[in-house]
Amino acid sequence: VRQLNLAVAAIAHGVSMLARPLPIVPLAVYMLIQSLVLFLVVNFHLPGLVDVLAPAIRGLFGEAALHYPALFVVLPDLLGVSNIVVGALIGVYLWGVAVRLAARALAPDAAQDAWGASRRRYGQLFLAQLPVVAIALLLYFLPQAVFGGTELRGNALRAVRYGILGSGVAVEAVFLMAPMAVVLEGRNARRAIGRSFAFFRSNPVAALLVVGVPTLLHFPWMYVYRRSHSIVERFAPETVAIVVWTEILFYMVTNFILVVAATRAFLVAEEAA
Amino acid sequence: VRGLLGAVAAALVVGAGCGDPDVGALYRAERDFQKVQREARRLSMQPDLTTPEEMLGLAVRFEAIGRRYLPGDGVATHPPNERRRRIEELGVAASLFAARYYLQLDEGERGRTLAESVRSATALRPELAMRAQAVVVDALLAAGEHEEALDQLWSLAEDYPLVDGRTGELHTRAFNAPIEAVRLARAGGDSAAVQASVDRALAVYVGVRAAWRDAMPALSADLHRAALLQSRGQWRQAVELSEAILASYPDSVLRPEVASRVELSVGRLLFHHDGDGSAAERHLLRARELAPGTDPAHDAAFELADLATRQGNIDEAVARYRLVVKEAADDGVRAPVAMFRAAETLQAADRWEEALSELRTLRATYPRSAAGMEVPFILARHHRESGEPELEANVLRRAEEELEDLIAATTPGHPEHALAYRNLIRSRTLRQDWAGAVASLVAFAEAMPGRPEAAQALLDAAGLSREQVGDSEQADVLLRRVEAQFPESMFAETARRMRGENAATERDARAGGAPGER
Repeated sequence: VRQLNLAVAAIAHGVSMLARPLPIVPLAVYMLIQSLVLFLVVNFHLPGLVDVLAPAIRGLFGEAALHYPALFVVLPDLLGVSNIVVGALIGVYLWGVAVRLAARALAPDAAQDAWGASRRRYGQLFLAQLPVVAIALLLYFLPQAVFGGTELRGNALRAVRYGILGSGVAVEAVFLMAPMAVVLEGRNARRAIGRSFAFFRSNPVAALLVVGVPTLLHFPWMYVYRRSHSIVERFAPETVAIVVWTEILFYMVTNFILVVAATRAFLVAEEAA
Repeated sequence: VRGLLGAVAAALVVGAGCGDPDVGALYRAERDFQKVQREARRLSMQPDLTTPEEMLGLAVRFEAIGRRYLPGDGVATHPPNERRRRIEELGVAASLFAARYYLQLDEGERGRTLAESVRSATALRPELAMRAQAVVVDALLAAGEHEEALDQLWSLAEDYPLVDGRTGELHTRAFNAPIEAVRLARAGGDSAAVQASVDRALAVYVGVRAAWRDAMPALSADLHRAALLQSRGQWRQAVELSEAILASYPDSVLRPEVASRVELSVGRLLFHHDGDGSAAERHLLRARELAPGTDPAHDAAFELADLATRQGNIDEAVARYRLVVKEAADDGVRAPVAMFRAAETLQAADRWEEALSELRTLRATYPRSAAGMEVPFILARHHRESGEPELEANVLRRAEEELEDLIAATTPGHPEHALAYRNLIRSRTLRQDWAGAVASLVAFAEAMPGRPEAAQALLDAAGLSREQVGDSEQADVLLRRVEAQFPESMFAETARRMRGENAATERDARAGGAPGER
């Protein structure tokens, strides 16, 4: 019950702070970066881009993905992978800024310099998130490595899909507090991860809920992406890109809720300790 | 962050030097082509709502894509690779789509010029030039330039590869060009030219046969040769060649359905030309055995039933037809025809009650088929021949009500819609309801504006108005409508001639009536 209260109060804080969204600025910057990535991927064929992006697309999804409209069938997955990479390189910094801004909004006596402090902690933030990125990439390519050319159907496909989703949420919940520990407590990456593990050990349900609830809000997009083949066949293939972009916009909102909720849970747990 | 940006910039600089420039070009070609193709597909789903302007728009867009991606001289200087080949194919396909749209829009000259320019593009692969050549042929046929079309058809058959040298796949249009040329020559009516065409076509297929031995192209060539021999009346040679096909090709090439077709063809030839019933029956039974449940098997059953009828075995014939009905219950054409033929056979054998039962089942099971719609006319004829004019009229009136319901339930352009109209007009004509027949013809024409069938219906309506209803004024109005709606067509010419005849008849009538009046 305590954990449930903690999670619900944290998420409720996240939602209520949408009205005064100072921490959203770094997430809006991240949204712009993701939009730029989407634009670049959709226009990979342009001179200058094609030489860099085509080998990457081919390497990830095969030669077929370099053709129109097949590119749009794999676009959600392509953006998923690029999101993991861009998140690891740039997202960690912006996440750090957002955490500091959220902490300032939640506890006005907190440190003021969000952008500069996070920049100085970039290396530790990057290292603290590295295991999550590695596991996320592993989860992304695991089914392909395990099942190879076997086409999964029905319950087997559902089990794999939900298994990966559940594992992803669990991994993120375990490492959830690492960035907070880096930017709010000034710990190094190893200690920050240890701090996050400790939080998860004592509040597993709260951590899972704080990560899981915003993730569940993305279900409509997951539903649409599973049908990207039909969208490409029946409508203009570019529709998929528009759907992906709407998710990027929505991702900014859910990320905001997640950052505020996680920061709030972190601060409450710290106070209790 | 600075390091990261530096790494990205370095990757761009390094990558820019070692990529394949055709990846992006092919993607753009596919995107541009498929966008227009998607629009074309959308319009093709609602042909009645598609305006000529929309079709012209598609043609222009396809032509622009063709111009952009057809490499012309560029292909010779560029090292050929799979992507470049695909770009070239898309350029050709777009240009030829444009050419075909121009043909549909009666801009034949524009379509032909475009196809000819594609055909003569520098260093174009022969199979792509061949596609352009096929469009040139179609343009000439559409323009009615049959002699030139015939020359180009022979060019298609003799100057381009009929078979893909690597895969053995047929280039269907070129492969069938000799048969098409024979057909065109036959339409010309010059028997010497037909004879020469058949000889020339046979020579083409003998060449294919020699090059491909027992492979699929050789089989296709032999099948065409057998058809040509048959068309020339050399049915015995056709039978010999067909039997050689059955004996010589391995099962991997001669699939059961094809073998069944060949057996069917031999059976038909023996039955209709040789009169050798037992040999024909053997082949027809073999056709059924080889591919049960397929079209040739059903057609063989029809032939076997016909054979049984000729031999006086009515029960066997009817049983054969019923077997087709059972086997091809989902075939909306063969099953009702088989029922109809069974009824006809029974009627011819003076077994009217059984025939009637068969006809009733047909009417109940397949009311919208051509055979099903024929039932009331058979019943009407029976009543007429039995001296029951009241019953005849009743049957026809009931049929007309059902046909009107069917017309209301189907959209113009649907085959059942046209069929229902034709039978409605026929029924009213039989009942000598001339005004009703004229009204139906006009309604039919109005349901399909701009179509040749509409013009013919208006001409027929005008003829009935004048000759049966005695309303020359209405006839004149209808004929003027044909002239206005189908200017520069043979229908307009016929309408003008008919109006001239009407006017002359009127003048004669007035001149003949004047002395009496005096």
